[in-house]
Amino acid sequence: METIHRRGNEINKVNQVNDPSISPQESEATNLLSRAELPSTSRGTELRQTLYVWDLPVRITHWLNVLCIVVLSVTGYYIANPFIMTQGDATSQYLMGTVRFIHYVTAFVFTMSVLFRVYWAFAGNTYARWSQFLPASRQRLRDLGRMIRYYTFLRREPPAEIGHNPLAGVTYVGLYILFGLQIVTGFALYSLPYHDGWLKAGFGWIVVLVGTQTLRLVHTIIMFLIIAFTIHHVYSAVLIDLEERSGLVSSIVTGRKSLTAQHIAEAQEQPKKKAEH
Amino acid sequence: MAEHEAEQEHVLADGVWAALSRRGISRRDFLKFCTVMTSALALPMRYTPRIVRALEQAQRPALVWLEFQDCAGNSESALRASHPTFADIVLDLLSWNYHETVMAPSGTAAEKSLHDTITAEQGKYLAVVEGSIPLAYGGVYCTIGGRTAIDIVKEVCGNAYATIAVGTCAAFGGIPAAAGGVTGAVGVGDAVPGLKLINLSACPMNGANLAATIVHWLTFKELPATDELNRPLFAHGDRIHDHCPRRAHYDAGQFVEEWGDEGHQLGWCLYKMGCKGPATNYNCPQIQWNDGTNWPIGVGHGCVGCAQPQFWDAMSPFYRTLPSVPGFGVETTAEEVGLGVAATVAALTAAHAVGSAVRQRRAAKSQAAASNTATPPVTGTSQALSATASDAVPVTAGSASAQTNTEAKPADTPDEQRHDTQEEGAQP
Repeated sequence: METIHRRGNEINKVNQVNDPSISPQESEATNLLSRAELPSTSRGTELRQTLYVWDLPVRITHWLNVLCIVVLSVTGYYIANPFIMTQGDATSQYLMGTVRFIHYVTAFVFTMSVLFRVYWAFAGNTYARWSQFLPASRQRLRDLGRMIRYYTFLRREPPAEIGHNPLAGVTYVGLYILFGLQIVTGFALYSLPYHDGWLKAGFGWIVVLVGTQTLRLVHTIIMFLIIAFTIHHVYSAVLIDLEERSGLVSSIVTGRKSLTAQHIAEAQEQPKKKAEH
Repeated sequence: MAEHEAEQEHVLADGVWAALSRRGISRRDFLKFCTVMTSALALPMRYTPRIVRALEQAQRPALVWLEFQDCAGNSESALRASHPTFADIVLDLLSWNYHETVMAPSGTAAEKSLHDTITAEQGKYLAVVEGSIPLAYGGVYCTIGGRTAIDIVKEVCGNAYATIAVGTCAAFGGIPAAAGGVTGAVGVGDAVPGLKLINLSACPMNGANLAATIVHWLTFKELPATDELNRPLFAHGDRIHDHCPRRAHYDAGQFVEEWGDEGHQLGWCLYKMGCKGPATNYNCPQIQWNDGTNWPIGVGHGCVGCAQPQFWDAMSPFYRTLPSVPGFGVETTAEEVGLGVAATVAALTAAHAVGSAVRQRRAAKSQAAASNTATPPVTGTSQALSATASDAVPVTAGSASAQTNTEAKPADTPDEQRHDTQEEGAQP
């Protein structure tokens, strides 16, 4: 099967140039199907295009985030509830100190990763941009409703998308708000021993405003919320991959999704005006 | 020698030292006190002579001590000391004109001395406030001589040179402001904004810090430098955690896990027992209590964070690291709530997975049924590509994987119909 590699944001152009009434995908599909060797369940065997969807910075920040979240959660949980104890002379042990050091270094990496990803939402390709996350267009709003109906078993299929579905996009906005809160509360707690300097100037006022104990509570609860998100995130990635057979799960490694011509056409279809009804 | 003493008497006739020597306090005791004050203010020892000179010549400024929603614990802390001279000196540093707990006059006579001080010493006296100020229902929860606390504070503190709020209640509301309180209790700073205010929080505040604040004012003619919460930096500049003698055990990962366990006997870190030292700024570890005898962490009990604005609510439960999550009851820990959230999401996810599997299977079945009844398998797929085949697929089946081609369909067959059949029931 022929695969066509295109950068995500070029897909739109190609389809705008072509006359939609005689799409090349259609004729190719007909030719292929006429070989009559397809099983009755045709899922996953029809003509597919491999699209380059997730560009490199998206994938790097994704896996950096994964790594950081794992390290930060384990070390952070230890800091909140030290479950390993050392024995012997305190001067020859430094377990909590080491764990905190790892937590802090990882926190800086995570912060950079999150900040870069936010920047990339304005500089990246179509599927990395902010418009994938905030359902600002009529089409995205419509598909948001469809996705909710899909998840609540009121609809058979998820809406066809090339990048994120709008519900996932909105969820990631919520996730990045949690990331932001986690970073701010984390740096505020990190600023506690300092009397001056950029940490005290930048985050000391939060300690005064909120209080250390509340910051620690919020910081801990958000860790569990991020873990809860991760559980759902992995599940829905697998679920949608099973629905679409698009290689969604592996796309975060390869950057490429395998989508049917029809799927792509549907994803680019503009919603009709409500006046027609 | 006698000549020298006579000269000294002459110089100091009106000062603090004169009052102290009349009380029979030795020069040695006085110098020891000045040295302790230098130390409490975290000043280098070369400042001791300056403090000695300043106190010798101080003209005993007036002080009035107001008590509102309090337990008199700060009065106790300020006046009681194992060293009798300490309290004597503090009392003699100022003209202590009004203090309900310790003053001799009562009733009208007491109120008169307060009134006299405010009028005669306007703008020159120190006002000390102990206890929180209730604001609910116009302040009816605390009245003295028929006047509400807020009314008294406005007059007395408004005419003072400066106000010192002693104890967490007066500084931040404290225990009367904790959840469940009905009196609308607030600290002095919140009750009357704009005052020249020093907050000496803690429950109770350490008497040495009050003495040091007054000594600082007498010596340098200004109030000590404060943090964002108007607390003097010499007393609240550093975290207890960063000066804790058990800190090495924290960094090493050696924690008390149960009262009286081996770690407790070995003096390990009390963090897991709910010590709030990491959240509390106070000079407890340095200045200690009962004239430096000991302090809570020194005797094996965690800090309860009494010097912080969030005391009591955010600092309790005292024996847990984190506060309780609002809305989940005091017995539920943050960890339990967090794990509960994660487990709920996991359970919902698993339930959804089951639902999705059922949906998948039903769709596959109905597709197979449709293929069997309508057409042979191979052509079934290609037929599904035509508009007619799409119409032939039963609507109720959701026509899950019918690979209809959108372009080939008539424009008035909206995409929604194919997908949304289950929610809309039937085709129009």
